[in-house]
Amino acid sequence: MFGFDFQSNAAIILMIENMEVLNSVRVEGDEDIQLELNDGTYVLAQAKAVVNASTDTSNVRAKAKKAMESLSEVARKYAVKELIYFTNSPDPLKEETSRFLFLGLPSRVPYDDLPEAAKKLIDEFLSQIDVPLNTNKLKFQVLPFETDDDEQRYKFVKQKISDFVGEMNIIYDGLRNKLHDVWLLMLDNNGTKTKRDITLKKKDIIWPIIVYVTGHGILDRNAKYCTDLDEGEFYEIERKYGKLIQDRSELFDIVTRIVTDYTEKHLAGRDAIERFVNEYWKDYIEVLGITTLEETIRDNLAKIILYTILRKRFEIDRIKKSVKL
Amino acid sequence: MNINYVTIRQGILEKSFTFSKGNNLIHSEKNSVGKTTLMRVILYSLGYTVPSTKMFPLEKCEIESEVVSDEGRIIKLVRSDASYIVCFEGDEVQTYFLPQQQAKLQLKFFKTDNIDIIDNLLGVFYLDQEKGWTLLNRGVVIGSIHFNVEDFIQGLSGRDCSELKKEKVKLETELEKYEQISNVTKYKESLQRIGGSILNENPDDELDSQIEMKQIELNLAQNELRRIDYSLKSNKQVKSFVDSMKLTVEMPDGKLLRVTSENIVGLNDSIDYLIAKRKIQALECNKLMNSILQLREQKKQNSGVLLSVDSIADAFDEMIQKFPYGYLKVESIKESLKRQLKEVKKQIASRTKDNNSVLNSLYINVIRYARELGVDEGVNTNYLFTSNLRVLSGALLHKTVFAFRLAYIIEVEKILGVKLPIMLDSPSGKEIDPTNVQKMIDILKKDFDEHQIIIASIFEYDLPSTYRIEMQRSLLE
Repeated sequence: MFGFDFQSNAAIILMIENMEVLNSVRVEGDEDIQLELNDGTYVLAQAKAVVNASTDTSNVRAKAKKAMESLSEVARKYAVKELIYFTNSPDPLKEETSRFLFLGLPSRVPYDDLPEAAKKLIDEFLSQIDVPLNTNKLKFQVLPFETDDDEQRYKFVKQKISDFVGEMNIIYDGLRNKLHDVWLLMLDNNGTKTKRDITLKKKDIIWPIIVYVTGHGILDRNAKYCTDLDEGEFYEIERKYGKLIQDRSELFDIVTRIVTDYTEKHLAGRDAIERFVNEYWKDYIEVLGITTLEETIRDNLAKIILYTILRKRFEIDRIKKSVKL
Repeated sequence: MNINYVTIRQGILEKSFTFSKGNNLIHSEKNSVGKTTLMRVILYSLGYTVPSTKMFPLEKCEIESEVVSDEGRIIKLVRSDASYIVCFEGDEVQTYFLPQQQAKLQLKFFKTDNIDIIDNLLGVFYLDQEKGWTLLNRGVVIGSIHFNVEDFIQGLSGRDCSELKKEKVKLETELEKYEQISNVTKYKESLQRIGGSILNENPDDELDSQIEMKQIELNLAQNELRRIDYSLKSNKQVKSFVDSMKLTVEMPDGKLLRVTSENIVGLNDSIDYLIAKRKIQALECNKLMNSILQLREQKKQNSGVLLSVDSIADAFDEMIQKFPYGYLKVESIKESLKRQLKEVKKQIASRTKDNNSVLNSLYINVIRYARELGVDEGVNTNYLFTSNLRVLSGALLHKTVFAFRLAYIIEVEKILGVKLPIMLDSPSGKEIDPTNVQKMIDILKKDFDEHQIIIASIFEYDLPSTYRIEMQRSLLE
């Protein structure tokens, strides 16, 4: 179980590192971790974890040797961009001269950057393999991953996720935990599929971010400024009509009408959405199907829904663009 | 009726004891040589369930006896096992299982099968060395055989109170139950006074609470899933509609462009969005379902775990606290039952006592003999039913008991026409002086000379023509 957990977390690291060029990811395929890139090449990784990695180096060389064998085997079948030996051991080769390269934070060391003694060790492993891998493509990646305390164990992976969403200018408390949870579940689920060609597509990985960031109670909160409700009244309507707001902002036949109208207005500036909402909300009461509601609620709800639809559209475009989806 | 003889067979040993129709004295110089045992052997031979004495196991012997009824019928009884007796009368041989058919057997010599009488007869004619001389009107005769004056009088006077007695037993049982329940409610209130965080500490309650919360969350999550499915279905319908329409648009440059779901802005996004949202929601539902399963599993494991003493006590306290009725409610039910029981007892007493010639007759004879023995002060008809034995002690009780028994014997003869044998074990007792003993013997001589009398004692008594059975060192010697 520890091994699988490490493998999935290692996959998350590699996914994030290759997101711009990522096509799909698969765990427990022909290799522990398989990333297919847009150009048809692959990043293939062997994930080997030791439970008490910081103190137990008894089997690290055997594991490293096995990893070389496995990577060499799979490299024959694929157009490889990178072959990665991914481990949590801070001394993955149990070798003095290279140890310092892996200590501390997550590290990523290509074969070529290893000291001679370490290279020699690898060469020795590879010399025993019929068709050894190309060391030009070989990398050693270490992720500190230890203890039963989840906060400690996943510390670096979650930091990686935080950095990743930060780069998309997403500010959302708790998003990294949610993404970590959902990505692990998706990867674990993917790992159980026996058909090797069932992979997680890039959009499968990115869309959860969009869903969280545009979810109920997140995006529509800012709609308050389009309404003439005080905070308490606004939250009351938002809470009471939450399902309606979500519903209307998810149905394509409503969304497309509003988005198209907005686009055609060619409004510019940071407050373009707010101006559109304030000016044209009356035109959509019937479209939104809220004519029977009490006037104040109806009018403010129309503004909230319009705002949500437009902001959502904006966020979707923005996030997709940033990860080149 | 009288007993002719009793023969005891134990292994290869055998001994017979014959008795006269009149007065008999089972005598020994010393105690503990078998006098009481012989008395019990006689009763055993008549079908009674009597306890053996230390020295002599009755059930390992064969006891044969011969009884002559007042009409002269000779009945031979052979009992070689506690569970049955064989009865020979003339050419008739009949086996009776005991104690089930005791009444049927004793009908032969007591001339009644009325249960109220049969069950109480031994307490009339037999006075046991230990209990007999303090048994006035209610109590143990010997072993598990009891005497009850109300039942006895009801039997003799033919007043059937069986239905009322059943009701009485039912109410007494119910009342006993409620006494226990009352203790429980008192304990519950003491727990509550101590401070009731016990309920909250119950792990099962905590788990139930968590399961309920999770279930609510799951229901909400599943509702959301259904909403997403509906929206997704709607959007997919748009997609397939567009694809099926095979629309074509003309571009500004004149080129024609086929309209598909791929080139409609936002359509695939709206679907991808909902697909992702659905996946997240489904994962959430799964997570909640797993939580619920785990909690249920934990609950199951908790219920299977052998509790330590402390947790059994806690579990008990927990149960008691949940008992829905309070002390006052239970007490009011108890009071109601007590009232009902009192009423039933009153009805039984009324049916027993009102206009009862048997009662009057008993009273007259009790007064007569009590007067002769000098213990007649304060005796009235209700005295027959007295429970206040504390005022009677030592010789006073001894003599009063004797008076009562004689009155019972007379009444039995009057109603059933049976002259019961009178069996007295150690009539001198511990407290009676020779003068008083002589008074008792004089009454027997005077009024009961037609009854077979069997006395077991280390003393001598002035009775005419006493047939003497001298005991040696043991019963079979």
